[in-house]
Amino acid sequence: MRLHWHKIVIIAALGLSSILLVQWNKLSTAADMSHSAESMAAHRAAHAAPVQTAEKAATANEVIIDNFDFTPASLTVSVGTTVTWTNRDNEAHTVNSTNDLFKSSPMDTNDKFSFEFKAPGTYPYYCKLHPQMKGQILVK
Amino acid sequence: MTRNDYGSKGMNRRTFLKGVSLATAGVIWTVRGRSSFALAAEDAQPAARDFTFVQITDTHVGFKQDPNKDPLVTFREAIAEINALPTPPDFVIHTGDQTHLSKAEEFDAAAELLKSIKVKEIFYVPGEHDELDDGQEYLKRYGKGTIGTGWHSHDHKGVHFIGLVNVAKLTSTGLGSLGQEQLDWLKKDVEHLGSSTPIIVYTHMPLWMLYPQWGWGTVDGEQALSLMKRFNSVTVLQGHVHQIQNKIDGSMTLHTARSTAYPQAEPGKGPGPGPIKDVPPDKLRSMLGLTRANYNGKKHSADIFDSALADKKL
Repeated sequence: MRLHWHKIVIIAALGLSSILLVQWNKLSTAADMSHSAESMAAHRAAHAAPVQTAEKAATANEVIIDNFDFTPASLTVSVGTTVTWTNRDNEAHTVNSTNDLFKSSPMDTNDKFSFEFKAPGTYPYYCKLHPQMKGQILVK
Repeated sequence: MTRNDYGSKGMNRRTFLKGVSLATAGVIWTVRGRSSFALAAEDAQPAARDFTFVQITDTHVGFKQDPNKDPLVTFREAIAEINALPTPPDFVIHTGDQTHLSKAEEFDAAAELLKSIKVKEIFYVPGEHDELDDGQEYLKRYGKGTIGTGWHSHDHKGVHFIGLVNVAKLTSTGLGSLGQEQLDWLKKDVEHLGSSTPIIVYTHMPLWMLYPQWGWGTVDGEQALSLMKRFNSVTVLQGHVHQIQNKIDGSMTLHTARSTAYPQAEPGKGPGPGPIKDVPPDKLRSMLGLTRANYNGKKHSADIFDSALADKKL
């Protein structure tokens, strides 16, 4: 009889602790979500400034790499122009010609890469680390 | 679910992903923090075939930006945690992005630290940051005994371990890919195994489509998983996303570990898949960490524990 009650107590305790655990999980998840929303808003705000700078800094023969984008994505230059890419992102990137005509070394933050376009044509390129990043140079 | 929990009050707690024994038909649940159940599992007397192994990932030696200007420091802290484990791991797995730019000196610095881990063996797979020279430096150092771009398998105390490479050729949308040659090899590698053989796969990028908009997935990962569908217990350990993410699908548990270098945003919750720059210095270590797996020979499954560097205990 004693043992029997003992069992019931254990079952009740286990049941209660699982309920508490579930509640605690819910609370933690809620805390996670509200906090990440805050920190992401701050993160976006922090990113807004460099993007503006990038747009301002881009000149006729320059491509800025920032926030997983080439800006401008399509750049038109005349034959004989040397185009310079500058990595303003916190992440490393590369500039790889789709047709293997030019290829940068891995570019750390603030690294630059230049290439002179000697013939007219369309020159698509991408980032080897993030091939979803694409751009092109139109040489006229 | 264990989620990317930086900034939350739970960040200093260990997350515990518990694989339940086959007796309960592959039901798997996750528990946050240290419950009495977790303690019971941890304190259980180790049987002969029980063992522990550790996964570290995304050490990014050579990274010099915010929020971690010297990832060698946090890499060292992670190693100190491994060396302080009461039960030494049988081996360590590094799931890639050892280096930031695939430079020889970065591989050298990483190797120097890896040598200080008190463990018999370290298994490797590359990340895309280790493949910027098309894998030349990586294969020179870690290609011995592997096939193709570095894939391999080995058996340990009744568990079949498989290291897959999904970063040698990224797709034009930025996803990882294994390629037909590796899939053919995988098919042959598992076909002689009984379906009760526990399988543990490790690879760099998530095998499942975690967030394809950021390239977080493997284009032919589903094909690889389908080759392992008949097994009673499959665990897939990955890195790349610098945060904890899980997918549980029947008898398959897929899990990504934290980086030891810097955190990345949750899927879609930031401007892109890069480093989160504005992390307060006192928060950084709660967003970095490593993963320990306790393989339970009786249950034929692995319990996965994530610990943040801030916890000071793996």
